Amino acid sequence: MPIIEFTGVRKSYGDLAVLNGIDLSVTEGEVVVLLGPSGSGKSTLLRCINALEDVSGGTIVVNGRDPHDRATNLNELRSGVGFVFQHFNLYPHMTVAQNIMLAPVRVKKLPKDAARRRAMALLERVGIPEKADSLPTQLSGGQQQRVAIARALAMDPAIMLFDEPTSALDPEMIQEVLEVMVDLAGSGMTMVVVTHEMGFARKVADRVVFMDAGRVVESAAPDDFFASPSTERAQEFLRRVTHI
Amino acid sequence: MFNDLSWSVVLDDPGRSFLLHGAWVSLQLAVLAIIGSTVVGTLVALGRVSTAPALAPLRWLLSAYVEFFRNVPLLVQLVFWSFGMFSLDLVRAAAAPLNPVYSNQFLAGLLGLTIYTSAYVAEALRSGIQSVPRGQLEAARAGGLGYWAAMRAVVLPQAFALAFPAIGNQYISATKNTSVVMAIGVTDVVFQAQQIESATFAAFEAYTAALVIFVVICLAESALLALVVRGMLTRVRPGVRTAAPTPALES
Amino acid sequence: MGAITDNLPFMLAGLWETAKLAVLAIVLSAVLGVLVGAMRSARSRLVRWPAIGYIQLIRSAPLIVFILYCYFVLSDLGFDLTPFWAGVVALGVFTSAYLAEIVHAGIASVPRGQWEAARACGLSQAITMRDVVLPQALRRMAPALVSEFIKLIKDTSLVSIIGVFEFFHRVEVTNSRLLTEPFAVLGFAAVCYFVLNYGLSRFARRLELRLDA
Repeated sequence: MPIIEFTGVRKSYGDLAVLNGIDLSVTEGEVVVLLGPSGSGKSTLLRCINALEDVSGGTIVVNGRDPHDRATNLNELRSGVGFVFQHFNLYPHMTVAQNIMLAPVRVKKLPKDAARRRAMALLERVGIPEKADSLPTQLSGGQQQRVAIARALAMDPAIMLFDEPTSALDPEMIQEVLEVMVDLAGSGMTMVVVTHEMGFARKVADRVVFMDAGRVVESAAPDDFFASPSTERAQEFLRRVTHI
Repeated sequence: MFNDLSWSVVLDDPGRSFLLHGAWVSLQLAVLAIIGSTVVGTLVALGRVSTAPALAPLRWLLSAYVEFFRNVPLLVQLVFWSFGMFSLDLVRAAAAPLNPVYSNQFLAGLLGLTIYTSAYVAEALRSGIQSVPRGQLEAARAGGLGYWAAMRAVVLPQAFALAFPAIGNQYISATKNTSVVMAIGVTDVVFQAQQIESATFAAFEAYTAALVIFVVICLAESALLALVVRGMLTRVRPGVRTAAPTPALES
Repeated sequence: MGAITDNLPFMLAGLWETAKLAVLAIVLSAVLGVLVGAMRSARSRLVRWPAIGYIQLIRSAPLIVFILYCYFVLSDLGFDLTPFWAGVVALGVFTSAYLAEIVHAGIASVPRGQWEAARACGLSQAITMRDVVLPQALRRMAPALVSEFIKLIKDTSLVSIIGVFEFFHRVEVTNSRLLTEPFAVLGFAAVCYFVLNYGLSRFARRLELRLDA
């Protein structure tokens, strides 16, 4: 039983087609890495899963519900899907702990002290409990992204989505964020990750999905994909990202 | 005339108590109009940044509200409320419970000033909301917060901080604009100064006194606003240094 | 409707007076505003400080007080101005302080390299300001200038308190003569001002777009 299922999903901005009939399913506990050149529609696909983007056609089922059905309670659906942004999007006017507590307190109506305890546990998990009462701007990029992951985990999501989580980071900070993600994958979380980190894809992914021009071009186990990509576009892409 | 100044007409009673009473009226008008215009302006700004297709007529109406009240002189609006709306029995009856404290002229002046200022506050806040990065709303929505909850908890606090220098300037303008109510017979500072002038012909002394009262109020207000701005901005954008509002700069 | 049509010539005659007031005051404010704004941007404190004083003093005054000042105090001082000219002076001087700040900000927004290039060619400070910096600055500040001018047009209504027989004064006279039609008469005045000012702001925006293109 897939936890995420795309059937013939299309999306366009005016004449520009961004998603051109996507069929894709993700099963529970699976870690899927989306690869592809920029503009291939990876981020758009990810953002359709929790309805940050509308779709123009086709159907999506997430956790048994359609995010683009008017009858779906979007807030409830989104509570079960964590989202980590490229640029963190931490709330600058709140402390780290308040960032994490906002959704549990406002959406789940968790009492403040319980939410605070939960936030501390999550900060422990991402390795920066001492930053609970700092403001986001006092943190390094890597620390901010770890807070953003903790914030996404605070709602106990069944699915975690990552939209290029390390692309805005200085190189020396990428590792600390990837470690948190590896740890999360090891705990059995369902994850869909858009990234350019080939090492992460190779080591952690259960499956690599390669996209180009709004289509899924290839879908394979990482070992197979990296050893012998079956399409020419994927070969070309891999040549470029490995710089040889 | 300068070797013949008679400051006693404003420094001694009855002139002094006239002016002090006028200052109290002006101050109440300013404070109430600032509070009222902030509430109304916020609602208007929120309506204007809404995106639901069903709310399109509301957005049109609110943009008409902003354009209309910004492009018609305050004096015309005040005369309209005072001699138009407050000539209706219905409005007079509705205002009657307040009359022991506030005259109908005062209420008409307050209403006019509040609505006029709210159009400017709404514009300032709208551009504040639009300069909050889109990812902030998305992050809150991705966490499961509804549109209004996300606006209230995440977007508005940042928008207010960003827009506050501009909004503060509107507050100072509103304070100075309270003086226009003398034209509809509210007994504010300028009205009292005019009374003194017509009784004593000491125009220079009377209007200088009114001016000094306004300068003192506005300077105190901009010092207060500068403190608020600094507090707000260091929270939201620690890197950003913004000029404090000066006793002017209305747009 | 009759309330308006019967009194239309009487009220519209005031519109002409309002237009004269506005145009004269705009010219006066522009001349003073550019001058004071340039002084405000000068290096020398001797030039800069009087400009700052002028700007701060005027901007901390409510316009209505300023109008009363110009009318009563100037005549006490021996300048016997008619209400109309007192109104022009009050509106023009008052607005010039706001324009000066805009001009100053506009000048500050012209890159330093422009100054340096002109000075390196041997141009004097004054010539550099007039021929190199101000033309560039004026284009950047056009939107802010237009909104000040619209404010000035709205503000012309305030000189009715010193007895200038401009548009709104005539509207008020009409209104108190009729007594029964405040909504029609005052609504008419509001619509006139709205059409004038909104039209002007739209026109300015289109001009701006053309300048940018």
